[in-house]
Amino acid sequence: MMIYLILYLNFMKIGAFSVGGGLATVPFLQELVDKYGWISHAELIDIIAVAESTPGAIGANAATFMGYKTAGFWGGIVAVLGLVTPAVIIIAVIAHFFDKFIHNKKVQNAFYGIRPVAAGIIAAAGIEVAIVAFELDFAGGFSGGSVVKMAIALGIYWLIVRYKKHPIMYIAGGALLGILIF
Amino acid sequence: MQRAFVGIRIVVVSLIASGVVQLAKKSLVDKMAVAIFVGACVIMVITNWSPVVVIVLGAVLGLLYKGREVE
Repeated sequence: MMIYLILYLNFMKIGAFSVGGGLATVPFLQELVDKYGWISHAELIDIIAVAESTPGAIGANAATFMGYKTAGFWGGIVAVLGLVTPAVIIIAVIAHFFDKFIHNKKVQNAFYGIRPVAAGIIAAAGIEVAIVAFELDFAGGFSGGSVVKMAIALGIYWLIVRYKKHPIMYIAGGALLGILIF
Repeated sequence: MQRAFVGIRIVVVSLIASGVVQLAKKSLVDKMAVAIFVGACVIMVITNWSPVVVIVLGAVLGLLYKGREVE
């Protein structure tokens, strides 16, 4: 029973504070992994990949997978409920005076600071994902394999910017590449 | 299957990078915003602070920095 409460409260926190779209949940999920160790960092990256490939918001998908891996079917349900609780409350409250809220000077000022922070913590999450994905070992210097992986990441980044296809295209391509060359 | 995920993890790095670039384009409107961006990123990499704390700090910084212009 305790695990459901922990899941609900933690995902409620994520729902309340992850600003900046789907990827905004990633740094919070990393914090959960650090704190509870329910899954490994590599598994979290795989969950992000699956969450990006399936229909629906990344955050809700990631909550489902993480809740499920931690406490089974009901774990997944509870995690998603936790994630959406703040949004439902916030939207229900703000909907009444949305125009006033969005044009409020103080709200705009706060978001002037929150937006770059959101970008910054996602960038930091990306760096931590990169360390796992490139299998970087700072003590042993750069291995050839890490350099190849970084080059592939650069190439795929270029393709994403150039063609703007759905993430599942690139993830499928990455799976194929992984099977062929690693 | 394991080898497929080695490739998939690399793609996730690229996807996050493109997401960060898109967010940065919208949010890094001046030098102060760039400083907040860099500060948040560095804090998250070198400390184990909760992202909640860093978000709240960003809101306070925004209120203080932008609030001072009006008065």
